[in-house]
Amino acid sequence: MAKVLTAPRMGKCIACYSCSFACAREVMKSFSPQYAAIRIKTRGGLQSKLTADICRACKNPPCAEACPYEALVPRVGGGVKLISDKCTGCENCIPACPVGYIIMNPAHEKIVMCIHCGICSKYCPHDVLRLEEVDDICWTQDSCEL
Amino acid sequence: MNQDVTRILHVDLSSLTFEIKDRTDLSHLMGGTGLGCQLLAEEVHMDKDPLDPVQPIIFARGVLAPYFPSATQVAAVFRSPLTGYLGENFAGGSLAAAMFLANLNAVVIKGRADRPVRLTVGPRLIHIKKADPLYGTGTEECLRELYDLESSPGFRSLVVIGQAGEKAVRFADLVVDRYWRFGGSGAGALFGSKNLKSLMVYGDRNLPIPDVKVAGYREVFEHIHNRLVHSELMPLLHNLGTAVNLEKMQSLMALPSRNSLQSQFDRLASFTAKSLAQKHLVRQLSCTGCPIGCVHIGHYRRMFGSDSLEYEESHLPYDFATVYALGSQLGLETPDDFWSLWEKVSGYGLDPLATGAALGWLTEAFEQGLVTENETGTPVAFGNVEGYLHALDGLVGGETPLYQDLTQGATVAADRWGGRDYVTEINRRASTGLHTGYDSFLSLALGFQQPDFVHPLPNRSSPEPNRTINTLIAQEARNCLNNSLGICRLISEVYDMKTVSQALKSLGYRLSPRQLKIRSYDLYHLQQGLNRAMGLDPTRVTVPSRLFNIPTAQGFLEQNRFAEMLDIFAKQSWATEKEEVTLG
Repeated sequence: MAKVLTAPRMGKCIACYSCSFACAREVMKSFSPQYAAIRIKTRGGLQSKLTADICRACKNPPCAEACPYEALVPRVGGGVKLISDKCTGCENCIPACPVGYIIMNPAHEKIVMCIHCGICSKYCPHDVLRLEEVDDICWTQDSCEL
Repeated sequence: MNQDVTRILHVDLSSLTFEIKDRTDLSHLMGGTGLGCQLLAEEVHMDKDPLDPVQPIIFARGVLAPYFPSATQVAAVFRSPLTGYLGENFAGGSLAAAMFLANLNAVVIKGRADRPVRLTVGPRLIHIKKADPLYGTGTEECLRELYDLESSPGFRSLVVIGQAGEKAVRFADLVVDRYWRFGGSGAGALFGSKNLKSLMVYGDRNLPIPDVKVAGYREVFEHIHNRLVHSELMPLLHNLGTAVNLEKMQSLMALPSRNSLQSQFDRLASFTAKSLAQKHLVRQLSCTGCPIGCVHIGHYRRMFGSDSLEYEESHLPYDFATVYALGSQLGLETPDDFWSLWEKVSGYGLDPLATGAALGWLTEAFEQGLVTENETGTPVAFGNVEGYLHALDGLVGGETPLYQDLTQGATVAADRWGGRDYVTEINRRASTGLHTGYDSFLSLALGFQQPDFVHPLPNRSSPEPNRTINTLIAQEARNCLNNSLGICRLISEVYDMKTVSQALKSLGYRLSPRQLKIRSYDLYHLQQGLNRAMGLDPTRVTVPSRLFNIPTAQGFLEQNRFAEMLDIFAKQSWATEKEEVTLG
């Protein structure tokens, strides 16, 4: 079954950023957690609840629709797969994302996109993150990537 | 990732200028306290007051921070305006990550601006902005303003002072990211003496892991991560925090209370870690890059006026030290009394330990008639939180000669007004309250790091003086290494020498465990050399008799034996600098 990353227990988040560091280290090969595909947002200096900035795995992803180069391909189960070679860094997808998730990685001049691998959830000490199994359904009219 | 280059930002607030220096002669010092001490040695003016504008304050990131789990610490190093000796304080929060992502190993600030300013440091800019309207605000309000004023990419960290720092109260702290602090040595007063209200550091540097290092780095990271999350310390620190030691010390009749008149806290049942968690805990937080979450945040709700149904709320961090200093030592009756006092102490940006010692002395001085209501402006008594709140206003406002003296700490006030025997300080440093035995008092006397958390507590024994001193020096040398690496002192046992060696190797440093041990003593001597140059003399330490009147975790201590240990230290370790330290 396809899997998508969710953050159902953000009330338990302790702002350790272990998830961001894990994604940076294990997936992005980087020491820089701010360009990881999961980013933890705080407001008011840790006074309010924290937010996980993750790909919400849209079933009909607007970012893919906005990409003129077919670099973002709808993914089975939701979300998109980034075809890195096709990404030109045009940034059309950035305003298209309804929750403002997509950012540029200045090192590569390509966008940062979650691959829903769940590495971040492995390093979360408080079971905040989940890699949930979802139906193997392609929700778009186009074909989906596995 | 060039480990040979140490990047240091120098800011001069007098001329409103800055300079970035890439130095290649400092990598042997690691970072943190080692780097900070070296930079302090280069910049400090030994012949001038610690609050003279020329004096520097240095923030140095531990060299393993934030590469590895729980390596999160930044050292603030300066000449302490409270003691006159070396001031070394450590804080986590997001400061290490922000400095790392701003590509900075250290920030050196000196000079004095001609008006209140705030300093913003990023990877591509340094701003010194006017901060006139922020002067006069407490730490909480100042942070709220700054979080709104300053948006920044990447990670950011904020360091601020309250009114106590502005007024140069010599035990004012720096508050970091709301819930952390550089505490106990008067770093806040240094900011105030420079007209510097806040320091913000942010960073968004993109730093790929070189391909040749990926595998090795991941392997060491995984090893440390596993050791940490499977350590028995992790659930203890996360669930209850350092406050868990309150009950342990009480059970050993070693929890000082009422300015150390008693060895048990009458009201502990309402203040245990479990009780505070059940009734007040709203969340646990971590430093960036640490999976533990040991910072416990309590919720305090206060009614407006009286008999109203309107409330305001505060969120405050709590731990062993704050409950000991502001709850137990002042004989407060209820957690709400504790919260209201801690809220004021935190808002003013005062150090909780030194404030507890100051108010403890004031209480007994008032009881004995050494000071009167003419000087205090209010009756002061154990358990009377209203009196303490009023006294703090007087202290920060410098309203009377008594309070002006008390801004320099309890020891200075007692020297002028009397009651020296019941000041709970040694060498003008207030205790963390974890009186494990001779080692804790010796640490205070010698400028060593004091314990924040001890697990397990030591067995009862009667330590032999020579052995106690040698063990203490070895421990402090290790502390110097850990503090240079940026390893959190609460979990330092996870990082044994072999692990540290592997971690450093994965980042490009080649040091064997044995070389690390030698390096730790080098760092120790650097630290102690500074203390000696600043006038710390172990043969002239006096300890108030009060501290010997109640037991420690190792039972009652003997003044003669304590003096004997200081003498041994002075002869073996202080007089001849390096030869006496032999590596085992």
